[in-house]
Amino acid sequence: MDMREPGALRPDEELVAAIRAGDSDAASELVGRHFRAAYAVALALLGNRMDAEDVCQDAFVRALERIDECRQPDRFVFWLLQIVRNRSHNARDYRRVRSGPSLDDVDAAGPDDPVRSAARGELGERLLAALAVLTPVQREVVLLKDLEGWDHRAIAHALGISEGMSRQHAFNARRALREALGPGALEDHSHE
Amino acid sequence: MNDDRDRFDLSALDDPAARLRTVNAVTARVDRVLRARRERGPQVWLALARWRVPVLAGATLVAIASLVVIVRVQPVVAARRTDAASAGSASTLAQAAGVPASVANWVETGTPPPAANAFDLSGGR
Repeated sequence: MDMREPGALRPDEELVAAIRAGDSDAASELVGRHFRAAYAVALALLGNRMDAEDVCQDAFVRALERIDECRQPDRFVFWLLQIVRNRSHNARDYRRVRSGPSLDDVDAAGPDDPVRSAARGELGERLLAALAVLTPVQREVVLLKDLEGWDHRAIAHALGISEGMSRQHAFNARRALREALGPGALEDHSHE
Repeated sequence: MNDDRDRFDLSALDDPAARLRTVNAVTARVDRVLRARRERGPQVWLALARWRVPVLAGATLVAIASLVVIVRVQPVVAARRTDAASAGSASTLAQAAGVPASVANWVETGTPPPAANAFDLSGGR
C-alpha cells in the first residue's frame, strides 16, 4: 500500500522506473523538477540564456532516451548534470569553431523575441554581465547555491570537488559579484 | 563565510517560460521513444541486467562452497578406497556394508584379528 501523503512528490527513482515503462507524465515531471539545476549549470558554462536553454533540452532528451544507462535512479540529477556539462562543453567548442560570440558574452537572445525579452529584465542583464567576471566553476557553484538552493554537499558531488572547495568558490564568487554590482546589491534577505 | 547571510538573490535569472518551453519540447521529442517503450512492455533482459550483480555474487559463493566440499571430502573417499583394497579377501557383502577389513576377514576365516588391531576395531577409542 502506498503510504505517501496526497500531493507528495514522487521520488526520482520512481519517476525513472515509470519512464522506463514509457510514462510520458513521469518524463514531464522529472524534466520540470530538474530544469532549473540543469539550466543553472548550462548558463554558468555558456554565459547566455538561449544556448543554455537549447543545451538543457538536448541534455534532457538524451537522458530520457538513454534512461536505461542511469545506474542510480535516486541520483538521476547528478547523472543529468554530467550530461548537461558535456553538452555545454561541446556547444562552447562548436561556438568557438564557428567564431561566434565568446563564452563570457552576455545574453545573446534576439531582441525581437517578445517572450524572451519579457523574461529578461535589466536586473537579469546586470547579473549576467557580473557573472561573466567569474570563472566557470565559480558560476556553477553560485548558481546552484543561490539560484537553485542546493547545499554544498550536493554541489561538491555534482562538480566533483570537495565541500570546502565549493564553499570557497561560493565565497569568492559572491565577493566578485558584490564588487561588480556594487555594495548591497542583490542581497537576499528572504531567509531572515 | 556564512552561506545564508551572504546569499545572493539570483531569481532575476530564473526563467519560468524557459522551463515550460523545455518541458513541452522535451516531452514532444521523446514521445516516440516513450511510446515504443509502452508498446514493447517490460523487457526480461533489463530485469536480468538489474539482477546480474546479486546473481554473480551468489554463483561465486556456490563455487567457493563447492571447492571447500571437494577439498575436504576427497581425502576421506581416498582413505575408504584404501581400506577396501586392503580388505583383500573380505566378502563383497561386508565391504559393501562398510565393515572394517579386519572384521570382515575375522568373520570369513574365523581367525580373530591380532591384538595390535584391537585398537582399530574399537574405532580408535
